[in-house]
Amino acid sequence: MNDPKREAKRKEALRQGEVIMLILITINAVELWLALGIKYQTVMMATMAFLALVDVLFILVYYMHLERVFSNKEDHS
Amino acid sequence: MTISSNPLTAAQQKLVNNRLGLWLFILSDAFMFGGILVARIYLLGETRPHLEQTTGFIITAILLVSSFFMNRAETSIAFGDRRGFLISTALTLLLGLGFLIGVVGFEWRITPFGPGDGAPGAIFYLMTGMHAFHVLTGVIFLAVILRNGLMGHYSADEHWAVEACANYWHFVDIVWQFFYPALYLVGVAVALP
Repeated sequence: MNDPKREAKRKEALRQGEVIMLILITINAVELWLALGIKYQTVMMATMAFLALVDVLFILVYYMHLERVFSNKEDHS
Repeated sequence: MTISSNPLTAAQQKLVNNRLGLWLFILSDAFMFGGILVARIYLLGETRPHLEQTTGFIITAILLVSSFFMNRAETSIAFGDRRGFLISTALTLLLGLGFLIGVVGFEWRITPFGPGDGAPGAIFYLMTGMHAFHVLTGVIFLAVILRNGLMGHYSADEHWAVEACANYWHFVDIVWQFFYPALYLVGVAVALP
């Protein structure tokens, strides 16, 4: 933890997690707001499916680190 | 055909196998949840049971914040920050319990219908119940890694179990990203007996 470069990387990774959380909560709030406004159910279903897929993409890439699936390294810093 | 000049060590090969196994398990579980989601769309179509919107949004936010702390726990241990890992894991566990209490202890109690009240009731309890069961499994997994973490079993170089737990927890979050709109937002709310 004394290496300044490593410490900067750690802070960056933690900051990224915070940004992603804010994005996900915002998308969920938008979902709720749209649900109260959209009357056409087909449009609603398509919109919700799209927003859910955006959510999933963020989680897969930034939280689950999909690119690590075939990596052989445990230290991902 | 080329032969790699840098073959994997036994530990690296094990890690590759573990990761592949975990993702295959997640994929198989995703098919099961996908089936349940299709059942909801087929049986309920453009209707949904009447549910409390505030509760739905709060439990969804709790699960999202828990995912954030899970990510923080994994990041912390990957950089050798044991204290940060333990605090974030404990918070994730508490939020997971909060989600369970919100769904099973609160939502199920205030919902004015049961699993036997037609397709909407059956689908609602199947979706929330199966998801809550996975959250419970995740909470147990979190308790195990918290205990092992307290005993000092993980380090920056060896924390596969933490990564597996994190991926499982995020997967449970992903499932809810589809279940929440499917249950609470999409369709016209209909009152059940």
